Amino acid sequence: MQKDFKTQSMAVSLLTLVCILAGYFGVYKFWEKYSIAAAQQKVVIRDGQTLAAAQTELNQFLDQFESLEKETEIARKALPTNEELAVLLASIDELSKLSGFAISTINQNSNPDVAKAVTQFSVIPMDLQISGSGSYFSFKDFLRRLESHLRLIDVSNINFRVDEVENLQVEMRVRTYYQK
Amino acid sequence: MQEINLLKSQLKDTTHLWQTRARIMTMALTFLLILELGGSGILYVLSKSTQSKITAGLADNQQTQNRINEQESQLTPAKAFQAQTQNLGNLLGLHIYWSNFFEELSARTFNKASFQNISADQSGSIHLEGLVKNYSELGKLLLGLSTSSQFEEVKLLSSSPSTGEISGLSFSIDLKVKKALLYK
Repeated sequence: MQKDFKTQSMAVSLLTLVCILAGYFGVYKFWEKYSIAAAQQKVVIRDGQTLAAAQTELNQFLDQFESLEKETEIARKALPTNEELAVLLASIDELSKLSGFAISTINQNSNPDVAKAVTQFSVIPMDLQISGSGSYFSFKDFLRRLESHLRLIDVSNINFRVDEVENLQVEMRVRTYYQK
Repeated sequence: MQEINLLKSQLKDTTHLWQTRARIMTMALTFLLILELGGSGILYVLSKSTQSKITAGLADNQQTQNRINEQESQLTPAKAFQAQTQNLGNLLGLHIYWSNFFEELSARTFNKASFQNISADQSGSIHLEGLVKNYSELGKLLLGLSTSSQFEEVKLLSSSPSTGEISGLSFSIDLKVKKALLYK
């Protein structure tokens, strides 16, 4: 009888100990592991959603850009990505001929260091000094054509005087731009 | 010899009760242990499954990141275009239209006056030099320029009899053009 009591007590004690150990090393440890994994999963899901949203936005942006081919060409002409001086000179020459305004000299006054100092996509101004002659109306027409030229040209200074044969002798400083 | 129990009413046989309690406790503890083992098993499986989902999620994210990185090269012209439109918007806001000034000057100039020199800069400062026949015409010229809503600070700097071949008065005038006229 005494022996049976001892055995059963030990069994209960042992079982209690096993329960405590199983609770700690089983349930608690696995719960801890699962909680950490669940938290990590949340982070991974959130990162995934952020990346998916970024890619959707990127695709939309690129689709939109591809659909604006015509506008891209206009923007490229209005604000080229390099000086394109040859094209500019040809355009000015053509405009002056259309207006009947005779250009005598064109000098470039730009500072090359400006282009080196600026960051990507910055606007770099390019100054030109233009001298020419013609009637008042040819000058006005030339001015209007410069102002409405697709490549953006700002006339910053104008000086003119009337010569002996009633022609205007014009000097003007113009500023055009390109994007780095 | 006959056994006499003098504590008959006080002593009870608790063996049976203790055995029952011990059995109940054993059963409860066994049940608890089974629950714990079951719970541990479930949590283990859940952890493993979550870990594999994390691995798959990370791989998906890496693939998406790689696709985004690959598209970076296509972004450069798009970014340049975006900057161009932005820059063009800013530049157009500051685009100068001198033809507006010349239209206004023609409209406001007394028709017998003639200009010999004109200097204009982008701040809107204008210097005019020219010829009129007499002071009466000079007054009309100044009046015409002063009444323009687009010109301000019209100042006669000098006037004197002309020294050239054409007789009359040479004059010089300074004025300011309102920015609204140049930056339409």
